[in-house]
Amino acid sequence: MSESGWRRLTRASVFALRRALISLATVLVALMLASFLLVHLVPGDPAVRVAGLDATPQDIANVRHALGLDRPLVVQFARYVGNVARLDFGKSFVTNEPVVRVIADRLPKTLELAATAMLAVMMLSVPLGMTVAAITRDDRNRGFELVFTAITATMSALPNFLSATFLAFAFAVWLRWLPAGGGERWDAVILPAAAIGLRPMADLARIVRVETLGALAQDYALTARGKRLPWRLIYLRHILPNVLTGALTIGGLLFAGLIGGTVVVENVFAWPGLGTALVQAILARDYPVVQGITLLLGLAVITVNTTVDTVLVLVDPRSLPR
Amino acid sequence: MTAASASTWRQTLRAFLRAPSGIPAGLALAVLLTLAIVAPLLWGAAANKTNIMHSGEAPSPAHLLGTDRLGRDLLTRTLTATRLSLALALAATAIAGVLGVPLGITTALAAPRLRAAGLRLIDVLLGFPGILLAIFITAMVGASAQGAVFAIGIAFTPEFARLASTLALSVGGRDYVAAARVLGVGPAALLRRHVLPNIAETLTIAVFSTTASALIAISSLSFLGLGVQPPQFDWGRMLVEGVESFYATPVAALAPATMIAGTGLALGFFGEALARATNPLLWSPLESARTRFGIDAPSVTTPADAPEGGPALLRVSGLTVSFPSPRGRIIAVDNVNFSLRPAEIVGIVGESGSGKTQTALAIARLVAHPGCVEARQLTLEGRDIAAARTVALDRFLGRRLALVYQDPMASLNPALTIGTQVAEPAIVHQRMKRSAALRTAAVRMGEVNIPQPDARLGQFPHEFSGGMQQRAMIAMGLMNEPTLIVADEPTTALDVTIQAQVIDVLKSINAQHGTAILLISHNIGVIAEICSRVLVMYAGRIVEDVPLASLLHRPAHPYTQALIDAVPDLGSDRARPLRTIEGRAPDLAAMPAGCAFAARCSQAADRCHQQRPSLQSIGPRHRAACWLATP
Repeated sequence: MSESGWRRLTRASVFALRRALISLATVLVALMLASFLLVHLVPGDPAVRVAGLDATPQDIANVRHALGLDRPLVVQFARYVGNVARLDFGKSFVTNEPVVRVIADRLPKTLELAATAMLAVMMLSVPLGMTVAAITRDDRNRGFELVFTAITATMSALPNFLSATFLAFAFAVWLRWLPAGGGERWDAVILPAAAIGLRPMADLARIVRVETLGALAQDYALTARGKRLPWRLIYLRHILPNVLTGALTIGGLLFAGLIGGTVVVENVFAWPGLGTALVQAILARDYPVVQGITLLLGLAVITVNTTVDTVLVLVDPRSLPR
Repeated sequence: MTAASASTWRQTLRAFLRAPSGIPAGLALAVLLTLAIVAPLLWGAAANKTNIMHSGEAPSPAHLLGTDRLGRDLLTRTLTATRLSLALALAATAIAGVLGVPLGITTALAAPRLRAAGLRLIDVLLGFPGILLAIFITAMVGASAQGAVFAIGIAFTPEFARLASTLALSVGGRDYVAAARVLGVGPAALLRRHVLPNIAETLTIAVFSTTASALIAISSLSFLGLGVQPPQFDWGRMLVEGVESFYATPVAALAPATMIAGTGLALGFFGEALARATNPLLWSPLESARTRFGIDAPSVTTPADAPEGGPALLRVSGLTVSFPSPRGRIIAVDNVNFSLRPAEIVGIVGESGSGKTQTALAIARLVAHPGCVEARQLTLEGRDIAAARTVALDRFLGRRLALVYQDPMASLNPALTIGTQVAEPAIVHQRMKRSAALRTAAVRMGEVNIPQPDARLGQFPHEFSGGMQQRAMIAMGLMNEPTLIVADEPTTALDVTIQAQVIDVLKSINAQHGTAILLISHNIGVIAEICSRVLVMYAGRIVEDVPLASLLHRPAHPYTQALIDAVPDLGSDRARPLRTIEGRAPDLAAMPAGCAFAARCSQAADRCHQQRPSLQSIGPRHRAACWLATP
């Protein structure tokens, strides 16, 4: 690439980075506020919960003072932000374990599951969508198109806790090929990852197909064909970058959705990650743990969304204001 | 209801019934609604009757789906749960709609700064997965059926808000709303009379898809233990109980799972069918019958002209391009014959739809599916280029034939640098190294008068002006030193001053490299600027093949004459309207028996309407298809 090309790219990344940081900061403050208010909006007195049912009023007052609950809300929020910055999310009401240790225990398993699902979605849906587009271009093979549309529509209408149930039935109960729960065996990740990934994969494959058909109808595709390029160059060099721009825009939402899917599916397969911990904590009204995990998951969603926004600017030079 | 709206309504209904998913989805919804009403009345008692003696039984005549852990009949339980499952989903949707729609419309109608902030907020909220928001809210309000409905309602509010704001913004921008505003209609009246009626339809459709999502989301919450609590039961609650004994009695989990999936699909498909029915743009091409026709050989044969002065570079004989259509075979190019000598510049002129672009595409073998190309002879440098596609033929065409298209902005790939695109033909077909190809590309770009070509290699097409883009396209075509450039309306999308520059570039290439050019244009002025010979096309046929001098002074075909007369020049009397050609070109699917131009020709005789004239030689290198020119 020539020098001016590099300069443009640097300008693009600086711009993208700045935009990302501004929106990240705004949303982060909102997220902190929401997770802070969680404890205060909950009906009942958190001090009573911590002190226990048979606590005397004096005990409760002590706990309230120890937790800082008797200070003004603004002061409490400032302290909360300070604590979070030092990775201090408080202690579990139930086990008295520091929340940060609960997260440290659970996070790697959740990351393993989400990363496996995300990787599988990316690696499968883009080639699948492009291949189907190539087969059905210019209205060729309409029967094949109908089958593809029907299958992907069904897959994307199926919520992930249901696909989890069906998958567990087929592969764990009926065929007995894979374990239905737990996180010990190496192949235990396959079924939950499939349950999470099936729906975004179907959606993304459909989007990629439509985007590919759109790109094939553009004049630059005719130019590429007119240059008599081999088909792999036409699809990989000329079509793919234009497809990714559109696919990433919509795909970004799917990736954020993947995080929601993890929380639900973990519970089906008793996967020892953040999702199971979150649900258990909600049921036990263990607010510090709920607060810590929701903050982390929210952060993950924001990070994914911002990354997608940033990558978009880098991939598509046109979205950079001149 | 007025007659007009009644007929639109009937049309919509018909479209709905034609949609493949509409009827089954509608029937399924009707059954589900009936179940929701009657099932708890009929089977409510049976569904709750525990019998530990018959715990976890397999399906039997007494219990068609078997029993659960407490010995309750699974079939009646599943059916009875329909009411609660649907009711919760509808309640959550209602909350989302009641909160979201006013929020969205208010945002859309707010002052610009407030509107921007509001839309951004809605976007951020939408970025969060609904189920995460819902879980967060349940953490506050506690795990219960009411809590789940509230949580899902809030979590889905941004979706309705977004939809409503988008719709309201698009309606607000329309002329009649602007007119109403100018007439002093207040905001409330504006909303009630102009905005709401126009977005109601889309919102109704959204209700179906949102209800499907809400059903699934509430089932998810119940499934996680955060929604419906025992002894109440919806499908999600049944599912979690079923999963506990999954290995022993899988049907206990599969039955409610199937109900959730089925109901979700029915709601989703019903909404989609409704959307299709109300939006004519989505009526699928399935409805227009696709008929295929056998392609018969061209019936009329005329001799290909024998070019003087050596062998032809390009020889086209009996070229026919046709497309199947519901009304029959459309013949876009009808038995076209011509040839090009090396270094010759020939123009093809005609109105849009005359088949000139399809002729160019057919020569380049780029006619789009399902178009059908036939030719008795199609050769470049004596080589058959209509033969089956092979790697060798691709390489030959890639090196010998270059193409320049109408819209340079669209013809360049927006995601690749100019350098990559211009250098590519040499890398692919000459196996040149990338660095060497880029150096050559800079030389070629200099040849077509692109200033500072080295610096511009790394730029993207959107950084080039239209004229520069077209030059880059031409430079790309020159990379393999072709013998023929086919340029399809290369100047049409450009400013007049730029047009002349591009024409000059083509001229100098022809002079320097001896590259033959086939220039396609509707603009006879551009053609006259550069071509030595002109093919005039009308309704897919060549009607005249004439040297430039004769074209301007002695055109033989009345259509050619009319084309020339329609060009304004500095001598045109500006007080008089421009000359146009009366009437319209014939329907390509139903061509008249005689001359295609006869209906619009002022000199047409009876014979012109009955018998089709063939392209005949009428002078030196001059051919015409007209009874008046060839008695």
